[in-house]
Amino acid sequence: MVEALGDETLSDEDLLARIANEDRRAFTILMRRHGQKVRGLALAFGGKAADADDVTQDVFIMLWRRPNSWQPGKAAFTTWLYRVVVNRCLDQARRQRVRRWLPFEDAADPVDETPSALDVLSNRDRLAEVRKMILTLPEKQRLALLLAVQGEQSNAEIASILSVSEGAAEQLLVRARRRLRSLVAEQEVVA
Amino acid sequence: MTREDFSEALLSFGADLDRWPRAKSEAARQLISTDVVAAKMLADFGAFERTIVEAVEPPPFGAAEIGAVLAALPEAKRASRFSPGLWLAGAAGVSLLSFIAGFLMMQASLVTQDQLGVPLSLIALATGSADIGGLL
Repeated sequence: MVEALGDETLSDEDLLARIANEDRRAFTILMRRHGQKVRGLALAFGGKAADADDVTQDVFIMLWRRPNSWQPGKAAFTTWLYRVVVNRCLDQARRQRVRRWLPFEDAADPVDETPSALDVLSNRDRLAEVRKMILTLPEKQRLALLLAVQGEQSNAEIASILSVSEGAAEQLLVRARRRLRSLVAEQEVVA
Repeated sequence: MTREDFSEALLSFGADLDRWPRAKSEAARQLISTDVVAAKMLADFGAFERTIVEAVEPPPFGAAEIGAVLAALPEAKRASRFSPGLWLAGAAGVSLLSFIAGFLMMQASLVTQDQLGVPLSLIALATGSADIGGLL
């Protein structure tokens, strides 16, 4: 038990070193530590639970196969991981755009609106509306906003994750917040 | 800092002044300490931001989600077992067979038995069905 608790406190770098030796326990700890962030971002970005699950699985299987992909000296693990998630989300969105142009493609999956306990406790309809509004933002603006409010990343970190300058990241945030604030204000007037 | 600057900075850095660049944060704190309108702007923006945070609150990532990834691992491992050595050996084998086939075809196109004699002896020697005497 003492050893098990010790494992939980291992750094991401140590966990990845163990994962390189196919240590499933280390892999489980890493998923427990970062899974919510990974799936949370994918879900808020795309709005569909099945797509978020695909991205999550894709990201973690990549980590299992290539635990040495992260170079410790270059970026914090979380920053790097967010970059991987962002790239997967953008790839998935690109593929879905292409598929929508193909004939005989099935209709798009409906947005996942399964209420969580939080929705029931708080203003469920209002939050669902806000989620839909976030989905209307352009991809990069949406990602910048989600990384800021959900991932609590600084503007510099967001710039690094999105591979843009800090000034460009700031502009993405300004536009996203301005647009969303205006949409929320409109909704409140209607309500 | 003017109210307009403050409004723009809220959009850039959010409602948590601790996450702003230090100089801007200090200027903003000074403004809201003396300007009730600016203080209200901050409160309103904070409420707006809390709504977004609540809306995108990530669902728990528990045993079921972890189990789903773990269940996909054996397949992932098998799929990832790319061995450069095996690929090289395979490529070398194919090249050797092509070379032998080409060599045999070239020999088959020769018209006389004499011309075939030495190459056939070489092949027989290589396969162990003849000895060095056959070449002499």
